[in-house]
Amino acid sequence: MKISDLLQFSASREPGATALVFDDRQLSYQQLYEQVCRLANGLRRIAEPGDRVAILSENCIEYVLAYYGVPLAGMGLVFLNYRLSAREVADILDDSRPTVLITEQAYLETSRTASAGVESIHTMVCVDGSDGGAAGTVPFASLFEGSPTTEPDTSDESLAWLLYTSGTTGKAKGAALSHRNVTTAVCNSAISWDSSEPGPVRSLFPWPLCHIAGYAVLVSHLQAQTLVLMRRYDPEAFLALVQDKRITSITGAPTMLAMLLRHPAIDRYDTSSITRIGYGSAPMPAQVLREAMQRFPSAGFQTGFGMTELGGNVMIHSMADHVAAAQGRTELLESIGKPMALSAVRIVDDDGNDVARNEVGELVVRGEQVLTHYWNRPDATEEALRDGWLHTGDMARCDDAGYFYIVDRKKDMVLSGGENVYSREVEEVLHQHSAVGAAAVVGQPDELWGELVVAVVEPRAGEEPAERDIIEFCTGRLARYKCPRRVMLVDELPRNTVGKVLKRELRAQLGAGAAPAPTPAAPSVDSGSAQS
Amino acid sequence: MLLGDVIDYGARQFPDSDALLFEGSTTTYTQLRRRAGRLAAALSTMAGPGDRVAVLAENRPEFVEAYYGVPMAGMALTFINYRLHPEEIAYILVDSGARVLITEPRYLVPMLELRDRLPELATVICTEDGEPVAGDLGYEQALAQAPPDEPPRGSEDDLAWLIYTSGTTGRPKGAMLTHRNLLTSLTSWMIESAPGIGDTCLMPFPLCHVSGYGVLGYALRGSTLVLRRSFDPEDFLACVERHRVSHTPLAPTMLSMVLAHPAADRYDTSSLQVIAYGGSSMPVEILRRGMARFPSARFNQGFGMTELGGNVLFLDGPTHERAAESAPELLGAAGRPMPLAVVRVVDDAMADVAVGEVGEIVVRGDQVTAGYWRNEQATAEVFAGGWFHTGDMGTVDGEGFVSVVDRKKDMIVTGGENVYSREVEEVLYRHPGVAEVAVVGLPDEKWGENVCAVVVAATDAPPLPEELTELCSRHLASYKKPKVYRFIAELPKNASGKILKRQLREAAQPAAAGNRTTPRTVIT
Repeated sequence: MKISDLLQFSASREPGATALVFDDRQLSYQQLYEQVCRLANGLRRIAEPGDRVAILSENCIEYVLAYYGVPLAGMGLVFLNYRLSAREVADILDDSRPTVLITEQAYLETSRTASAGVESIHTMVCVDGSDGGAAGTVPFASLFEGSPTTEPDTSDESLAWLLYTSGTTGKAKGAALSHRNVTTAVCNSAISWDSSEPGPVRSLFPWPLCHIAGYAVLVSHLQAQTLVLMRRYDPEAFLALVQDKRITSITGAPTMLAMLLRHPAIDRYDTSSITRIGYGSAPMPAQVLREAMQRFPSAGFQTGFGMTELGGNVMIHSMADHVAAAQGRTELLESIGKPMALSAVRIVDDDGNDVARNEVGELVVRGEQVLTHYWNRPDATEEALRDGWLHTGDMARCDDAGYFYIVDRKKDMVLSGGENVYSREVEEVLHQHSAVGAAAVVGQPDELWGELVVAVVEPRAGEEPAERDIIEFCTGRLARYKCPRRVMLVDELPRNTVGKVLKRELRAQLGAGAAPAPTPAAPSVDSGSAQS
Repeated sequence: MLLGDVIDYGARQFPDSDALLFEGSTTTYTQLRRRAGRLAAALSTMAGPGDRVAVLAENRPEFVEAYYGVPMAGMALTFINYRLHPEEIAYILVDSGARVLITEPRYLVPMLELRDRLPELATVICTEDGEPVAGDLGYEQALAQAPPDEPPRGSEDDLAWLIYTSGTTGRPKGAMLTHRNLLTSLTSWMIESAPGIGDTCLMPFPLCHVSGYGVLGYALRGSTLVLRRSFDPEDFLACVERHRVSHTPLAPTMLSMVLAHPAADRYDTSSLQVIAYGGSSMPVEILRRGMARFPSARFNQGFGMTELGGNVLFLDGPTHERAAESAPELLGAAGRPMPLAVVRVVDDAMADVAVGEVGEIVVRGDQVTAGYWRNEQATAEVFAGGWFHTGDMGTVDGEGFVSVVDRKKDMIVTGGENVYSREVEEVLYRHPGVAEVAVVGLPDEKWGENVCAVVVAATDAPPLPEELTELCSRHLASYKKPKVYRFIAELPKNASGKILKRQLREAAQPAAAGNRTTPRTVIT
């Protein structure tokens, strides 16, 4: 099964239904499918099956066309994060060696700079701009001229999507996803997600398509739903679209939802059409859930867990679970739920044996959605894929009722004085401090302790907490060895396009800037002797 | 993913929900998972990975446990139709080389008598139904004695189910279905037609038939299955009313029987939301009457085969509604390809036929059987050209709806003309005096074959053949009209309600020995 078959299925069933809406443009399933076929045929004129085609752009209809059309041409779509610097884009282009780069006016400069040293790229395609596009680029529209609306002959065994994931050290790795990986992830979600909505589903999608979260577009399309795409998330534009299009399904990060609930415009829009709210990236605070349930009384809540390497989600935390959580079992909100129907998930120790209930181990996953390999990185592939299981690098535990909890990223664990400190656990405590807006805990190399627990804090607006206060706050709530030894205050934590804090950047800053801290006479944080 | 993962999912997501209700007993998903695991462990002491474990029983919880437990042991669950003659069962047991047989008291004695002819059969397990334990050991005993550890995990391409299909000619063949085949079929089905979470459902088909795979879908939705030993039309109605059943599969002949039952209107069936029919072609008249009798329900159809591990074409609810209102020809359609199947209608050269032309329905995809058990020749025949040949003749319309015109083998060739039996049957169904009809070809020296209609009358006053002939001449070309009418009390059917035309052909031979049916033969 090819990725485009997911779309073709709905085009054969509901050709006239609206598949995609973006600004004032919309495409029916039949139209979208035909455009995808034409794009694939057009790409075949300028590149070969087996090539990579990279895309550097923000959200637009053309991006969705590329999602399906590039793999249909037998080529691998390389997703480029539009927030990367030219140098970082160049690194990815150098690694993936595409022959074609699709971009837009806003990123033309970056594209040109980044592709300067990449000989494989022979064609740059621009999705916007006046006729003729910019000099040296081919207009995206020209790929469609004269291209048939029937599928080219393509195998489903080739590379379909190539997404780069940030590593802790060195360069990002390309997760190579086959047609089977992506279609399995989509089918897994299609059959595992709560789909109890009575009528037609209209989903609003404001998230960057250059992230694996975009697989949700395919899930919507497999089920012949209408997807309303935003170029970028903006709270008021979001609310306006919810009202105008009678959106039934929204997704977001909890912080985004919290901010939306407090947005002055929220009472000016009719949001009664919402029946499903999906979220991810972080756990949902109980208070936010309760407020959201009040504000969106017809909505069910759902979350899960996934990774780029998994082509999407593998865990589901259902609507029923959220109802239970709202009714008092708030600890459930910390959970990522349970494995979905088509994914096998275990928690193992260093020897690959299952850990006991409530014990922490590494989350490992098996299934046909698991990536085939890391591009050009046999070492990383061998390390991550062992005995047929993907080692996610996430530390997790499973409770007696079968609910899974992410305890920490393996790489984010701080090893201090021989003890594992789960950064997330410390962060949760820090978040309870009234002056703390956001916090990230990382390890800083230390000769004596191995690593020091360091808290990097983004204060709440208008607050200027003292380091000592923050440390003291923790000592009452955490074992001594878990408490931060240092607190760094920053204006803003570095984050990626979906809001996740980039800890490797923090580590890089700490590693590069600081000389090894002099050993305190006694490792007693009560005396406030932590160095700053 | 493996079959065991399906019940794992059910037990994780819906641990305390009822999985099975059977004659007053209840099994939760947690219990079902545990018992399937115990069965797997027990079997691992009696046989090895790759071995066959046969089940000979009517519908009961142990059968559902075996659905999961046998494949969880790395073994192949071998389905035996309980209505077969012991000789036919012996054939299947020998052909499959089953090492273990799980059965129930009713079928035990004939099996024990066959034992000498079954050298591969090491163990006979019998369910304990309050009677003294018979066979080698009782089912509960086997579970109780099972070692604590479950067998190691197998692979997707291991044989999970081995289902013997009744051939129209020759001996039954075992269709091999791997975990991959079944999970693909299940995923495709779930995308089309999953029950709601926690719905109460029925399974009127015998579990020894591929249609039982629907039970796997119930586990993915935490549905409660009200399990009955076998299908009975009044029992069906009573269950729907008593348990407020919302979702049920049904064979066309089962629907006919329910509609014809005198008590049909006495039961409150308003809880029904989905009736998913399939197994054989649904006569349009019956479907119309069904839609009228069950107005609360959405009808949908799945077209499939044993060799396909389930269904590959789907005719959805909205299409039924559209068909009933304004596109009646769609009521006779089989449906459109399901998400994970590739389906074509092709001519003898394997080229797609034009819209409206008749060809054979062929299929490709991960759910298609790898072949027949130890029968390379039959396997090669059915995969000519690289696609699986269903043996069903069909057409495809401009919207992609495939309609089954006839089984290739049921097609009648008379005077050099092809006559599709289904087409003639659909016309005859329009006569109110016709409750059921099967059209078959009878050999004829002059014409090759003659068209013969075997009719079950709706009332004590059967329709006159002249009336039927007149009805046909209004709707059919002359050469398609039946030359011979026979009237019969009951059509022979298999356990899943499919009419056995082969038996009709044999019985209709004027010179057939041992012909027990006493039809009234009228030659027009």
